[in-house]
Amino acid sequence: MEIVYTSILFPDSITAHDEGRVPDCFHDLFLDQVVDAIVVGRPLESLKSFFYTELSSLSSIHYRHAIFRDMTKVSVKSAMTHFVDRMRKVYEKLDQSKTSYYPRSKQAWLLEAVHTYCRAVEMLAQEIASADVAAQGFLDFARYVMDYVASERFRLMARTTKKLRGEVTALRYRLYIQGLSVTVGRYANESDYREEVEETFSRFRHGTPKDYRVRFSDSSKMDHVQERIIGLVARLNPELFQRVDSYCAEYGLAFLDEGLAQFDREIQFYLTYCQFMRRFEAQGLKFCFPKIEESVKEIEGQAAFDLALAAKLELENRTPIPNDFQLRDSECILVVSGPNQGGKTTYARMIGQIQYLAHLGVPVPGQHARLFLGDGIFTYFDREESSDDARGKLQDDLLRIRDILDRATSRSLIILNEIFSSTMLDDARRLGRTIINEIIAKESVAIIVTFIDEWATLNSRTVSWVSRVDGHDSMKRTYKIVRQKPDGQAYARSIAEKYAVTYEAIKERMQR
Amino acid sequence: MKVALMHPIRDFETRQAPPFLTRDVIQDLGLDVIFDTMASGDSVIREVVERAMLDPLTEVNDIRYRQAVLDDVIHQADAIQDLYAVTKDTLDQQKRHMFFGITSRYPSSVLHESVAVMAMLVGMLRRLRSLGTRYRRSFHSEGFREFFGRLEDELSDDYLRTVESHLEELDGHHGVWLSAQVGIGFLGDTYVLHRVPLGAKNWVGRLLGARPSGMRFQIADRDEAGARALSTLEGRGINEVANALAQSCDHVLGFFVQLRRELAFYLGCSHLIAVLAERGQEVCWPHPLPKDQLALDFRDLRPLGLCLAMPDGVVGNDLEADEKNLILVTGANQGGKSTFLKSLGVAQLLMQCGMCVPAQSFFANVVSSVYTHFIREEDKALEHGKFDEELQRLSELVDSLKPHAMVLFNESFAATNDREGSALAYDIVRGLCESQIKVVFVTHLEALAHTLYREKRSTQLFLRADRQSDGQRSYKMMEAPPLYTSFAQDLFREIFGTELGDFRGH
Repeated sequence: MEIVYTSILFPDSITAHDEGRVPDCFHDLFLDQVVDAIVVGRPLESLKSFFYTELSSLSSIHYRHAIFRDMTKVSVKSAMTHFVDRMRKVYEKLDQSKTSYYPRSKQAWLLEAVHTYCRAVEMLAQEIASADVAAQGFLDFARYVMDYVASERFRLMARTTKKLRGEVTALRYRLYIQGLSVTVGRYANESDYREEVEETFSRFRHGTPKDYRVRFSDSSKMDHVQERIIGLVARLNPELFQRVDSYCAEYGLAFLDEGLAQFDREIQFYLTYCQFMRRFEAQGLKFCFPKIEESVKEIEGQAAFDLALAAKLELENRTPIPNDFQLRDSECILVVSGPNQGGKTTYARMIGQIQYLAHLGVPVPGQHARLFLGDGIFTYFDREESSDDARGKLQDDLLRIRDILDRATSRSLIILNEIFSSTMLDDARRLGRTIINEIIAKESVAIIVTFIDEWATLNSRTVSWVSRVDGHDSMKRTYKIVRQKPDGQAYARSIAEKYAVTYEAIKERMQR
Repeated sequence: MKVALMHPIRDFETRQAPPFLTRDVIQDLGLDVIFDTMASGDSVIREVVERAMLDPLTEVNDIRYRQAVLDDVIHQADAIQDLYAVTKDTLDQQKRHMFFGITSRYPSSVLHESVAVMAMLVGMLRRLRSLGTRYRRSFHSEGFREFFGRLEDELSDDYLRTVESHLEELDGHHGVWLSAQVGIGFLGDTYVLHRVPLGAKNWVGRLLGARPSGMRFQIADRDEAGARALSTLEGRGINEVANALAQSCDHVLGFFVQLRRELAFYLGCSHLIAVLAERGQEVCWPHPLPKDQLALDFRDLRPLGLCLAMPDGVVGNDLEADEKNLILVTGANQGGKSTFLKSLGVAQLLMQCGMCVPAQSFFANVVSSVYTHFIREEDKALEHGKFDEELQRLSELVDSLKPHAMVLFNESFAATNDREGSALAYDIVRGLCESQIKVVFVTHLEALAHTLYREKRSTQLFLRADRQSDGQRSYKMMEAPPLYTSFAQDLFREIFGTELGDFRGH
C-alpha cells in the first residue's frame, strides 16, 4: 500500500493554515521583526505564513516539540539542512531549464535538476535512516522516504540520470580558432601549455604573484556560439545525444514527488528557527520548551528575554538582561511600574512574544516557562499616528480598549503598555481602576505597564513588578524587573536627578 | 633566482610599512639627515637605506656578510654603477611599455603585452649576464661571488633561446589551439591551451577528424554578439597561459627591482663613507657581538649628524660599558647629553645594517631593535595632557617591545614634577631592565638618579656630562655619580619615606 505524506507541521488538520494573514498583535510585540530575522536569507514566501498560524491544540504543539527535540541532534539537523540546501539547487536548475532559449541548454539544465534531485533524495534516505529520530512526525516521514526511494520508478530515474550525465560530462573536444572560424574535433591527449610556460620561468618565481586571470562572469547562459559548438560535439557523438533527447522527453514534465516538495517547504520552519536560536545560544542565552497548561492559568518564566531586542543587541555582540515573570494562584494581572527607560515595555512585549511563540510549538526564550493554552493575544501599545490633542487621544485609547475588552475571553492574554500616559493623573487613576476590574471580571490574563504604580495594589488579583535601579546610582538602569511592592521613591528620585533637582544637585547649582 | 646581496639566504624584504615607532626613532635620532646624505637625490636609495637601518640585522654573521659586500662595493665603484644602470634601464623601459598599468579585461591583451615585456626583459638579462662575466673576478665577498655564479648558471644562452621560442609561438599567428570539456549546462568547461602542432596548416584536417569542413563554422562578419562570444571563449582558453606569462614577467621584473634595491643600499652606504672621508672623518668596521653578551665599548665615537653638518669641532666620546644594562646620564644642560645619546643609537643602527661607524673602534652586542622615548619640545610645558601623551607613547612602545631591545630615554617624564616623574621612571626602568632591555636614560630627575645610584648594581653605569671648573663644556661624558642638590632630599623623604643623608658623597 502506498504511504501518504503527513504534514510535518500540521498533523491534525488537512487545511494547513490561513495563508498570509498577519496576526494583529504582530507589530506591537515586534514579532514582525522577529520573524523577519528568523527567515532572513530564505526566499520561500510560504515560510513566513507558517509563523502566522497559531496552533490550537496541545497535541499539535507537542507534535512540534518532539520534532524540535530531534532537531537538536546533529545527525537529524544536518540531514534536514542538507536536504533543504539540495532542493533549493534543484529548483534553481529547473528554473534555468525553463528559462533557457536553446533546446540543448534546456536539456542540460533538466539533466542537472534531476541529477541534483535524485542525489538529494538518496542522501536524505541514507541520512534519515542513520539519524536518531524519535518524533512521530519524523518516524512517519522516514517511512515515506524509504518507500519512495525503493520504488521502481525512482530507482530507474536515478540510474539513468547518473549514467547519462557521467557520459556527457566526460566528453572532451578540440577547438581550433583562427580568426572568426571555429573547428571542432576529437580530442587527443595533449599537454597543457601553461605548465610549460611556468616551468620555463620557475627560476624567477618568488612571493605570491599577482593574479592576471581575467574573471569571466560565470554565466550559465548559453550563447549561439556555444550552441553551435555543442551541436557539433553532438554530431561527433550521435548515439549519446539521441539518448539525451529521449531522456528529456521522459522526465521533462514531472520528476518531483509532491510529498517531498511539501516536506521541503515545511521543514524549513524548524530549520530557520533552530538557526535563529543558535545565534543567541552562542551568546549564552537559553531557550526552553514551555509547559502549557489547559486548566490552570498561571504563567511563569525564568531568565526570559525579548527576541527582537536580542536580535538587535547581537549586532553589537551584546545580550539583553534576562528577566523572570510570574502570575500564580489567582493572580491574573501583572502590573509593571518603575523608572522610565528601565525596560518595562520590553518586558511586557517579551511576555507577549513568549505566549505567542508557545502557540507555534517552538522553544521559547528563557530557562524555564509555564504558560496557558490561550485563544488570542490582544495588545495596546501607544501608536505614534494617534491624535495629538489630549481629548482625541483619550477617545482613541478608550475605543481601542473597548474593542479589546469586547473580544477578549477568559483564555486571552491582554497587554496594555503605558495606557493613559497622556491623561490627567486623577482621570488615569480612575480609568485604570475600572479597566482592571473589567479584566478581572472577564477572567482574562493581563500585563499592564504603567507609571501609576498604585494600580498594582488595587486588588488581590493584581501583582506588582518593578523595574529596578542601581543601588548606588539611581540614574543607572539595571533592566531588571523584579516582583516587589512599588517603590515610588526610586522613580521620583531618578526623575529628579535627570533634571538635576535633587537636594545635592540643587545645592551645588546654587553655589555656582 | 635570488639577489641575496643583503642577506646570505634571502632577498632583502620590504616590510609592509615601518611601524609607527620608527617615526619617533627617525625624528629623535635625526636620521633623516643621514638618509638624505646617503641618497643624494636618489629616491630608491632613500627608501632602501631607511628600511635597512630601521630593520636591524640581529645575527653577527649576517652583519659580517653585509660588511664584506660593502667592502667590495667601496672598491669596485665602476662595476656597481654599471650593474645599477642595467636595473634602472630595465625598469624605465618597463614603464614605457605601460605594462600592467592597465589591468586588461581581455586575456589576449594580457598575453600580447606580456610577450612584448618579456622580450625586453630577455635582452636585459643578456646584458646583466655579460657584465657578470666581465667583472666577477674582481669581487671577493661571498655575496657577490655567489650572485655572479647564479647569473652564469641560470641565464645560459640555451635557456634564453628557449624563452624566445616560446615568445614567438605565444604571439598567436597560427591560431589558437584549445581543448574543452562538456560542462554543466553543456557549456564549455576547463579550457586548456595547447602548443601549435608542428606544420599546423596541413595537419588541420588530420587532427580534427575525417570531416573537417562539416565540423567547422564561421561567425558572420556582422555578427557582433557572435564575435564577442567567440572572443570570450578564446579568452577562457588562453587565460591561464596569459596569466602564467604575465606572472613570469612580474617575477623577472621583481628580480630587477630587487637587484636595484639591494645595490641602492650599498650605493647609499658607500656614498656616506665618501662624504665622511671628504670631511676628514675617520670610520671603522664595528664589531658586533651576540645579543646575549651585553657589551658596549668604543673609542672616539662621534655623532654622525654633527660629522656631516659641522665636522670641525666634533668631539668624540669613549665608553666602557660591557655587562651594563642601564646607563644613566646626568649633568649640565647643553653638556652634550642628548648628542651623546643619539650617537649611541645611530652607531647601534649603523652597525646592525652592515655599515661603518664614525669611531676609532666600536664593540657592541646586537639588539633586537632600537626605540626612543624623547621628550618633545611641546612636552616641556608642565601640562597634564602632555604627561598623558608621554605615557601613552610609552605604552605603545612597550606593546611592540621584544627582549634584547635597546630603549633610549631622553628627559622622559619631565612633564610632571620630580617626585611623580621619578617614581614613575624608576618603576619603568626597573621593569625594562629586568625584562632584558638595555636602557640608556638621559635625565634631570634627581630622585630617580639617586635612588638608582644607591642601589649600587653592577649592571648600572652612571655618566655625567662634564663641566670644567671654568664652566666650559667639554661635551665629554665621564663616569661619575649623579650630582645631588639639597632640593632632592625633601623630595626623597616625601616619596620614599627615608632620609637620603647617608648616601651623600657617593
